[in-house]
Amino acid sequence: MMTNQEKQILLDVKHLKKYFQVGKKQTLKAVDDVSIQIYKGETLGLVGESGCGKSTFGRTILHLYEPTEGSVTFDGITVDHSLDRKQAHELSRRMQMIFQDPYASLNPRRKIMDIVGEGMDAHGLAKNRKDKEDQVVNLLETVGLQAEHADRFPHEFSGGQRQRVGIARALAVNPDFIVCDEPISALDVSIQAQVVNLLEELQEERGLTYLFIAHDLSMVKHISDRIGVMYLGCLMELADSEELFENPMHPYTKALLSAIPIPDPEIEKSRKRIMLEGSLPSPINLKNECKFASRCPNCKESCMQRQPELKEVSPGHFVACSCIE
Amino acid sequence: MRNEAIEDSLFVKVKVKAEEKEHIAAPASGMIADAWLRLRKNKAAVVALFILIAIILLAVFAPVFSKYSFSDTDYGSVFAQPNADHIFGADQFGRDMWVRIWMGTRISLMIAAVAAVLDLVVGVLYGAVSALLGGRVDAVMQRIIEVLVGIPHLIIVILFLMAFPAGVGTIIAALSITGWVNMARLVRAEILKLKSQEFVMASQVLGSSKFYIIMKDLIPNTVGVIVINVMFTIPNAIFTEAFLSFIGIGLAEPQASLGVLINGGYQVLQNYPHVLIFPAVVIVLIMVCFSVLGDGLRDAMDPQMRK
Ligand SMILES: Nc1ncnc2c1ncn2[C@@H]1O[C@H](COP(=O)(O)OP(=O)(O)OP(=O)(O)O)[C@@H](O)[C@H]1O
Ligand SMILES: [Mg+2]
Repeated sequence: MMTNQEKQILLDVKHLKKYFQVGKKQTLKAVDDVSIQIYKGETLGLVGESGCGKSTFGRTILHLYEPTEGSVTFDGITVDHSLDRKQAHELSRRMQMIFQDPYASLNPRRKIMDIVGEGMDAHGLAKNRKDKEDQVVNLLETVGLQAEHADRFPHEFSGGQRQRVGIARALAVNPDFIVCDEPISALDVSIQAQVVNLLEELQEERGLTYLFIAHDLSMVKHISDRIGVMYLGCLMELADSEELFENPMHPYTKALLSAIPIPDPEIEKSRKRIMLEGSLPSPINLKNECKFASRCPNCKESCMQRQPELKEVSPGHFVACSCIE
Repeated sequence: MRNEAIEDSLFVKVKVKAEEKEHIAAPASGMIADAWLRLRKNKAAVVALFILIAIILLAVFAPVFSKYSFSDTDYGSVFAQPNADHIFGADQFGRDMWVRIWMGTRISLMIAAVAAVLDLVVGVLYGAVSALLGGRVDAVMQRIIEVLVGIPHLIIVILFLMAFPAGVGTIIAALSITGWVNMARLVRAEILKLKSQEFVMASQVLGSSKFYIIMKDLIPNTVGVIVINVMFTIPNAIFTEAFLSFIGIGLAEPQASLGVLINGGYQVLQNYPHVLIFPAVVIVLIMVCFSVLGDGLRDAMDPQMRK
């Protein structure tokens, strides 16, 4: 964890938008004006319901998708078309991703050696074949696999082992920043903790910065320094992990928190659940009102005007809600 | 708000013990050697492969080593039953069925080869280019395919055969117009599906070149679809030729193709069934063997079928 003085911005995302054109006249606003800063060495948790645009946000940051609007600045370098090929290539080394689905994220026709070694080939990080093999074996051992696994195909591994291969692949190019796109939601609970621990160890050893995406607050609480809550493509609340759990302000965050069961029947019985009405509205052709208006328990007239901006209500605690001053 | 739900203490480090790290016993091997190993285990596919090799060898060599030619008539042995001289008997002009059948098989195999090459070159390239370039190019290429698919295959072929002199060349040309369309569509769909898969995204994130992604991610993962489709195209092309010749608009006497032979045998079925049975058995064998081998190959090339 880190102290306030040494905060140094690694990734600066400004007004990032990613719209998908679906059908002729319909626009799907998967990410709608998100601004966020990620500090060197921290883990920023990003939570939200399925379909709220978390993956799209992560992928747009890595330029897998062309942003519709807005900018991404990584370590002082703005990622756009003005970069020359060499710079863009170097950036692709420094920013990596761990994927959601351990079954779809490894090429079924390549051996682990080639999968993990791919980034080394792309960036010329290995001097020769032997060097590459040594590095891959080292990485496999780092993530808790064994040297002889290098000759296997992905389908010979369990979900947790595959996720480790995915982590080794990302580490192979010595990145500074890793987007972890729900790396544990497809795994068994017992394996989840192992993978989270591995990620934390690696962060300590290598000074990595994570954007850790999850759809469940309880999953990110442990690993995150700060947590952002996303709803329908917008950031609703952003605060230090502790602060968010102790003092949630946005009605959506409150509802999410109240959905986490408490392992104490006394408290669990007496506690008031905040139930959200209705289901997640479709992100296609939304009106200009606050995105949460249709499900908000204290929705007012003024909420129907526009999506409120993210405001700092106390140091480091940002909320986008017009009911909160 | 209480939030003891998931406490830090719940995340205790689990040290993986050495014996828990599982061992996988099978030896590792390369892709083609691996595929061959798996194909060998599939009895039906191996039998099909040997029958096909035998048929190909017979088609190539039997006419060469026979004392008869496919068009030699001999009125002394009209409708001869199979005997030492005429292994498969003789037809209404006393022509040797053995030589005629293997000549006909040559034509069938030639058509099969052309159909396969067409599929592999035109079909695969067309589908791959369409999927990889996307956008307007893809849209135009797909419209062209839709037009080709819209007109019934048989009508194109029949019109073609009426406009040009009947012969192997004309049949091949007719097949060429639409033969590759199915492959193009399949390959395009497969590549589009693969393009959005996370492992392709992973390659992009790692900074791999487009060429690398096409060669290592996209093509190897479409091989299964391509193989199985070629193995369906081949019997289809063979059957189309046989069918056209059978209804009398394909090859014509005295040329021998399996369709022509079946047509001849069909007319004398009641009195001389052997004239029909032999060419019919050969064409059935060819078609079934290609299908069985195709199935076997697809399984063999899929690393997930590895035992
Ligand atoms: N390539 C695309 N084209 C069109 N729409 C897309 C595309 N990718 C995502 N979407 C849409 O954007 C929205 C956000 O999707 P996204 O995958 O980012 O959600 P998510 O928060 O990651 O959900 P999950 O928790 O299920 O992974 C969804 O409504 C989805 O249908
Ligand atoms: Mg997602």
